[in-house]
Amino acid sequence: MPEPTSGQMVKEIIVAELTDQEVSALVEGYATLARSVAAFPGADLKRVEPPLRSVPGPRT
Amino acid sequence: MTADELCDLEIAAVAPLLRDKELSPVELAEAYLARIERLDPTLNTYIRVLPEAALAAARQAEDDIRRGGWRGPLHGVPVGIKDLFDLARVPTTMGSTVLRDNVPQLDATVVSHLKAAGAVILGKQNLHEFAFGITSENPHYGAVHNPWDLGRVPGGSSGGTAAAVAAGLCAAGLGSDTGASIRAPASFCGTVGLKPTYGRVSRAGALPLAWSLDHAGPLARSVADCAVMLQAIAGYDQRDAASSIEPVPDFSARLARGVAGLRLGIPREYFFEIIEPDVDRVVRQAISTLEQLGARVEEVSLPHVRDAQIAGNVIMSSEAAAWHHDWLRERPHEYGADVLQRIRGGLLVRATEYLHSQQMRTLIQQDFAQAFTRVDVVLGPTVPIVAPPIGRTFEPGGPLNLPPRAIANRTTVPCNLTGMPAISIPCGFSDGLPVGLQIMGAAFAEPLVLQVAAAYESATDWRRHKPTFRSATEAITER
Repeated sequence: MPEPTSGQMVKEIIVAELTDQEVSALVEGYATLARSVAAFPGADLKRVEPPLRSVPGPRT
Repeated sequence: MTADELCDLEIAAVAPLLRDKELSPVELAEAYLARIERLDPTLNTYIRVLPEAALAAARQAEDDIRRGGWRGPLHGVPVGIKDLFDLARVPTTMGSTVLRDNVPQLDATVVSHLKAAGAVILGKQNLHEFAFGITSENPHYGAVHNPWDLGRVPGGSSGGTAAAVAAGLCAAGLGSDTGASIRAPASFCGTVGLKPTYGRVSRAGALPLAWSLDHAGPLARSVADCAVMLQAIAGYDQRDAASSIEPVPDFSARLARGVAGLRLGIPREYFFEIIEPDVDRVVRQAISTLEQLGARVEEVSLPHVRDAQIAGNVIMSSEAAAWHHDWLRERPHEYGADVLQRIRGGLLVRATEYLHSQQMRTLIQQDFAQAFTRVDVVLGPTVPIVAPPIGRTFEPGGPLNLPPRAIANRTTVPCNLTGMPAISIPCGFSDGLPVGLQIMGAAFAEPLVLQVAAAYESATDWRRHKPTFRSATEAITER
């Protein structure tokens, strides 16, 4: 899925009436977030898993 | 003792009076209700006060105690609960109009625990809408005012609870913390606030903000009172998927042990990098006090913590967007602008960004695990700023010239990511506004965290300082 970096893309994802000001704030907010996450130390990320685990289901 | 003096008493002082029948729970509840009626129109800490139910519970407590059935230190003690915890047959609004008519049939587990301990529930307290913000400037129920300066926010999202505890409108309260929401308001209002270990306290019957970050915990006027509240609400609950089976210790057992010989870690990175100079001075003075009490201070390195705030915000907004998904499309006009914008931002986050943020969480956990091989607790500021003015939390301001909303969860969110317990205790003032010291411990080390907090508290008199809101109230009335 492409990054939500255009106003049109943001509108398609949000599915709501948005003002131009709201769209540009969302685009700018996402761009900041994406830049910050992209700056995470990639080599460190490669060596760990997220703390998500499968939990065994009920046993009857 | 006057009614206002009764409302000033900590639980540790009022409990023996109730136990020994020197004070009636009904008299105590009436004192609190009268104080709420007089002061809350100014402070706006409650969304809903429940005088009839509170007095009925107080009468029941009085009967029980008279018959020799004293249940413990919360029996007959008036408390408040943030309005995201279910109280059967009373609306749980979460500070929103979307949930105005949401009336649960069951108590939240923590509420049922408080009732079982004999606590008297005074009402449901105001908060930042959907618990998603640090100011408690609620667009639907009005802004909560900080009792130390009525023109300033109390912090959030448990702002109503912290302000009520500080102002003597409840003896203690129940809050929740997803990124800062117990500890930041505790810091801004000069109260004690504890975010327990993830899984220590059930969240069943508490509406979620972000499942993997949400914690429930107490706010109180002293460390000992916080321990009493935690004792009542901690424990395994099959209704909460994240609940832990870890045994519940006696949280008050180590309060008098002091800190001699304990090792206190001071983070080399992040925690003191962006901080108001006067807050920095006050927090470092508090650390020196602990050192003078016999603790050893040692620098620790937490290199990945510098990415905690962005990881926390990515996870929080993504999980919030998932929970709010249908309402965002069907009822967006019922949301306040700031919360709507933040939750909509979560819809834009890509799965890889969410998972990279979760991986960052693992790295931060490893950093803290490494630190705890050398030190017993880690210390830092709770919040790097003091309470900002109401209505000016989006714009740059204060000595740092930064938007308060952008930095207020900076030093608290690491412990939401790691699930570690962390407490905020009053440690001084900056320009007349409270400053909080944050004490962070390893998972399930609440007794140690409380021990360090109690040692500091007993060596200082910050908790004896009371907000001057009464004169401020008079000033507002005169205007």
